[in-house]
This record gives sequence, structure tokens and C-alpha cells, in this order.
Amino acid sequence: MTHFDIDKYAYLKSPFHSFDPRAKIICFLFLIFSIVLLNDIKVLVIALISTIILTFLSKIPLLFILKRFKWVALFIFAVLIVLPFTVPGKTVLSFGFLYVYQEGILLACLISLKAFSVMLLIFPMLSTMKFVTFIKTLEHFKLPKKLVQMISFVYRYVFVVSNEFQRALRSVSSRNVGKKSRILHLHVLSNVIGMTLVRSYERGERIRTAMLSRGYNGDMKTLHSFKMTKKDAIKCSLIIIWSLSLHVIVLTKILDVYDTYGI
Amino acid sequence: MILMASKKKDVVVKNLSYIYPDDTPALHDVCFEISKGETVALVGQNGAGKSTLLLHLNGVIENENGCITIAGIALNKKNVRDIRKKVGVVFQDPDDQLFMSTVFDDVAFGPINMGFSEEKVKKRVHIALQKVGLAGFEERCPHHLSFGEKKRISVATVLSMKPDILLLDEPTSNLDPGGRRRIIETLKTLKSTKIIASHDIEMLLEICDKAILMDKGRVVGTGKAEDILTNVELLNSHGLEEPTVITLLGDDAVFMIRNNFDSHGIKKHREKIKKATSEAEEKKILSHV
Repeated sequence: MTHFDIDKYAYLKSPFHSFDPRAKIICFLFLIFSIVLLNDIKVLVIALISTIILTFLSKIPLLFILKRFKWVALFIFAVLIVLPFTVPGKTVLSFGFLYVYQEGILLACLISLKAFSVMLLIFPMLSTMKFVTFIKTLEHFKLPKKLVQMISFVYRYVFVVSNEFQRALRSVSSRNVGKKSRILHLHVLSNVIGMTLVRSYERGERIRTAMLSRGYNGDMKTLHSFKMTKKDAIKCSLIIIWSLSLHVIVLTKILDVYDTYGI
Repeated sequence: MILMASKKKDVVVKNLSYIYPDDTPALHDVCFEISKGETVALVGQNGAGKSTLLLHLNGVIENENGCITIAGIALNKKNVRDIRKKVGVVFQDPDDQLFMSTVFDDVAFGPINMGFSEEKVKKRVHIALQKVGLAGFEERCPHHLSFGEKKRISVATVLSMKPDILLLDEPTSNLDPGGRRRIIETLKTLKSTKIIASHDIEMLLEICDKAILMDKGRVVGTGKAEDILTNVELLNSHGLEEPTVITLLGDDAVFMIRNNFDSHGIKKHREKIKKATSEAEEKKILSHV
């Protein structure tokens, strides 16, 4: 059985892999929100360059990032196609009854730059830690227990359920189902999905029994072993300072000064 | 007087009956006693009520009819949490038993719920993993382990709670010979009272002192493991089959299984018996002369 390995690059060595997960999530979320709040296209370009540098520092292979990026790119492509024609403003080009507006182009660029930057930041933030560590960090941040438990169970059992589903599909294809009739194939497929759900439910009952037998009382307690070092504090501060600096650049209009000198 | 007798026993079950919510009868008037430190085989065909009985002993299924006494304490709603500290269950499918995201969290789950300090929990996890021969697996995710490793970790999840009584449901099912041997060796090292429900009669003969034979929710035979599990007629009449080793070796089988004999060892043992017999016959003849 083959699965997408969520922790594939969590064992590399980089400044972000050794970063305390709590500090890492806080400072990266800070940077993400700061980028989302920017409305200056030049500053957004600087932000994108900085996120590319951060992603490069995380040592996550480019191919892995590009593979994940294709879905975001699809969404951004749609935005880039639609917005220049739909946001009214100064007309730049016209194709018969279609008009391309300057404001539309600017808005499409703004959204694309923000989306690319945020998507890129997800890699140094989440792909550099094990998913289990991420769950424990959420628990540490006092997220609702039920939500954390649900995420934890999904992570633990998604592979088990997927194995069961793949086994059932293999059994179906070994009996040549659907070779003649597409409708029959869909009918069998819906049965397989239904049976997988029933089996998951039954497994859930058995898991509950196992939990009860080991003293479960609605609270899933685990031990945390997070350690914040001086290095982590420095890394965290640098990212937060950079996030604030992006807004300082906008507020002080430093880049506009360069415009006046024709640079 | 009854109370005094119960105290010497780790498990006492009296007149236990249970019917599933869909009206399927599961247990009928089950009675047996198990002494401290005994290893007991629970055998019976599929649907005989073995797993249902194990769930009763841990209090997962509430006993409505009958009486269960664990280490001298009558099991009831009020003390079910305390009883669960004394009785650990290892379920058949390790994926049901290992529900946490890492091996450490899974093995630590029981001790944390028992309210132990962080240091004590870590110590218990370390010892339990050492006992099953998987020390160093703490940070591994259960879905990255082999089936045999998952089974041994399942045993560790219960060992970390240091239960007085260990209940195991099919501990050797679906294991390759190597994995099966490792589980058997692990179980042999455990000193607590053990109740093992299984179809692996050869394994049960190797490690069990007593056996309880069940059929259609009733106890149909109790006694020494070698008496019950080698009784071909009794096993066959309740839908079970004797292991091939008993068919081939007869009375020698139990001795050989318990001493871990391979084919070479069996040959050697037979030669030894043959030699001893011929020497005895020779002496007999000489004495006559």
C-alpha cells in the first residue's frame, strides 16, 4: 500500500527543523497575517522574495514544493484570468466587447503575490516538524480538546482506513467487476465505500473499548517535551521584526522615494 | 468463608450470563476460578463467547447477571476504574489497541490516566518497551510498524500499567513464525496472572497451566492445560482440532512443545528413549539369564 508521507521532510536538518514548534508557529502566523494585510505591490514583491529565501533555508526539496503548488497555481490562474476583466477602472486593453482594467490587473497581482507568499510559508512552518509535534503544539495552545483529538485520530487512522479501502478495491478488480458495464462498476464502488464506512464505525467502537480499558475518561492526556532555547527566541524575534518591517516600509513610503528618483 | 476463599483467587466468576442488545445469547451461567500467577488458556470455536468474557473481566461490558470478583473485590459500577488498573486487556487487532500518534504516547496512555508523575510515566514506558524488546521505538508512529511489532507494542501498552491480571485476545493471530515466537517468549517472561483466548493450541500448551473450554457461551471443560488441550475427542466434539504435533507425537507432544523442541531435538529425544528402553530390556534379559 502506498501513502502520502506527511512527515517525509520532517527529519532534515535546517534552522527551521531545530526551531521550537510553538515559537515557529507563532512567528510564522505573525508573518502570514502581516503579508495578508499588505496592500502595496512593491512591498509584496519584497515579501515574496523573503518567503522564497525562508523556504530555501528550510532545505525542503523544490520538487516537493512545486508538486503541492500546482493546486494553488490553478486557483491563482483563475483569479488572474477573471479579475482583469471584471474589476472596473481605467481601461488598458480591449478585445471587442471585453475590456481589461488596470485596477483588475493590480488586484489580481496583489492576490497572487499574497497567495504565493502564504503558501510558500506553510512549508518552512509545517513541513519542518512531525505531524505529531504539530498536534501536540495545538494541544499546548489550548485548542478545544475535541478538535485536537479528532485531528489526532484522523492522522492515526487515515492510513488504516485507506488500507482497508485499497484492499476492497483490489478484491473488486480481481473479479473483473466493471469491465463490461460502467454502471455496475459504479454500483460496486458505492458498496465498497459504504462497507468502508461501516467498518470504520465498527473499528471506532473497538477503539473506544480499548481506550476505556486503559482508563480513558474523555480527556486524552499526553506528555509534552518542548524546550525553548535562546536561538529559538532570536529566530522568532527576527521573523516578527521582519513582519513589522514590511509594514514600516509601507508606512514610511521609502519605496516611493526611490520612484521619485526614477529608480 | 467464601470471602476468604475469593481472596486467594485472582479471578472468580460465578453464574455469569450475558445477552447482546440484539438478543443474541453470548454467555450462559459461566463459572470458574483462577489462582494468582496462573496462566489460563481460554479456548472455543468462533462465537463461543471468549472475547465477550474477557471484556466482562475488565468491566468494559457491565455484568448484569452473575458475579465477578477480581483480586478479592467484587466488580461493580463504582469500582470499575480501580479494577481496570488491575486488569489489562490486549485486543486482537493491534490497530484498535494503538490509537495514539506515537508509540510513546500509546504506552504512556494508561499510566498517565492512572495519575502518575511525568518521571514515573517515562520510567514505566521505558521498562514496558524493554520487556517486549522494542526499546528505542518511542518516537515511531504505529502505522509505520510491522504487524508483529504492533502486537508487541500492544502488550507493552498494558504492561506499562503493571496489571495484576493480563487478558490477551488472540495474541499470536496473523503473525509470522518469528513474530509468534517473540510474542510467546515475551509472555513467558511475564509473572502476572494471564488469561489467553486463542485458537493457537500449540502456543497455549507451551505456556498455559490451566485451560477453560467454551462452547456456545458455556464452559464445557476446565482442567490442566495438557489434559484439556490434548483431549482429541473433547476438542473435536466442540468444533476444535488438535494440533498436528499431537496427532504425530501423541503423549510426547506436550513435553516437546514445552521444551521448545525442533525436529532435530525430537529425533534426539526419541533416540534417547529408544536407548533407555533397549538398555532396560537388555538388563531384564540379563537378569533372567
